[in-house]
Amino acid sequence: MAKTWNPTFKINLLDVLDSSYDSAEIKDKARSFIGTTEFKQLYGQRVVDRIVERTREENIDRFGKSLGTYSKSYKDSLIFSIYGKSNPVDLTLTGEMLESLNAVSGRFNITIQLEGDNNKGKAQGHITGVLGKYGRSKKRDFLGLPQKELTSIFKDSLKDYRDGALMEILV
Amino acid sequence: MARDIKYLEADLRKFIEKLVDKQMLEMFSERTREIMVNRTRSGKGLSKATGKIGGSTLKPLPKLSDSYKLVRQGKLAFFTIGTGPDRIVVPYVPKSQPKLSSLTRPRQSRSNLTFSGALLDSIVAKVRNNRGIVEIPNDGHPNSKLSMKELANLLEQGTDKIEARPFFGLADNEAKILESFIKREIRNKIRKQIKR
Repeated sequence: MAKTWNPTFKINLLDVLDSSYDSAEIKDKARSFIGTTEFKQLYGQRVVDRIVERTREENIDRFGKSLGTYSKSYKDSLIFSIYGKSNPVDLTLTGEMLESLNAVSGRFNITIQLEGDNNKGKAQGHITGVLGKYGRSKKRDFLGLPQKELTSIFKDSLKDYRDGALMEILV
Repeated sequence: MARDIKYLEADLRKFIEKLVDKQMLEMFSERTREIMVNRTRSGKGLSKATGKIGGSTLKPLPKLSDSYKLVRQGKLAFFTIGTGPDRIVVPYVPKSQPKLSSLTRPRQSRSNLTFSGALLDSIVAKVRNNRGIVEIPNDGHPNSKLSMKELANLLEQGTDKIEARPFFGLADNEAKILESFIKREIRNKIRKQIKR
C-alpha cells in the first residue's frame, strides 16, 4: 500500500502573540481577539498567501534560501517548454499544489496544509528532496514562514481585525 | 438575522463588482486559457465535452493511430480523390518532413492535439460585456479546409473513424485551481486598498 503523506505547518497563536509584543496590557487585550473564528481565518489566509508569494514570486523557501534552479534535463524536457517555464524554481507546473494550500484552525492554533493526496505527495517530495523510490533532488522546504514574517503578518492582521477590515475573509 | 446576511451578501457582490475591473477579468480569462492549452499540450483532455468550467474530469487523450504517427514522422502522407463517403485516400511517401510545432515530438504516441500548433495557439482570452471569455475564433486553419471552430468540434465529437478528444473547458480540479487563483488575487487587491 502506498504511503500517505501529510506535510503541515503548525502555528501556535499564543507563541506568536508572545513574540509580537512586549507589553502585557496589549497581550491581554489581543488574547481576547485571537481565538475568534474571523481572526483565525484572516491570519491563516494571509499566511497561506504569503507562502505562495514567497515560493512563486520570490523563489525562496521557508528559511529565506533560494529554491535554486532547474536541472538541465528538466529544462530540456517537453513539459518545461509546454508550460513556458523560466529558470528560477517556483514549484509551479500546473499550479495545483500551491493552490491547494489552506488553513485549518483549532482553539489557539492554525495548521497550514494541502488538499488532496496527490498534492500532499508532491509537497512531501519537495520538502524532503526524495522523489519516488530512487529519485533525489534539492530539498525545497516551502511550507512555512520565518518567525519575523509570522509576527509581521500577525500584527497587521490584528490591526485590520480591530478596524473591522474583514472583507477579504468573505471572498 | 437572515435579512442582515442578505444585505451583507449584496454589499459584497457590489464591492467585488467594483473591485474586479477589466484588467482583472482579462487576467482571469488568460489564466483559464493557459490552464486549458498547457494541459492539452501535455497530453490530457477531458472526460466529456462540456465547453465550460467544471463538470468533467481529466483524462489522458487517446493514443495516435499508427498511420498518423508515421505522418508526424514524415514517413507517410495522404492525398484524397473526390469528396464525401466515396472519396479515395491514397497514401504516398513524402519527400520532405512535416513542420511540427516545437511543443510536440514526432515520435510521441499520445495525442496532444498539436501538429503545427495552430489550433491551440488560436484560442484567445478576452473580455466582453463585463465577462471573461475564452474562445476559438472562426478563422481558417492554415493546413486545412476546415475553420478552427470546425476542427475543434470534430476533435471534441469524434467521428466513426476518429476517437473523440474533448479538451475545451476546465475539469473539476482545474476549476478549483482557477477559483483559488481568483480568490487570492481579489484578496491581494483588497489588502492593497486597505493599506492605502
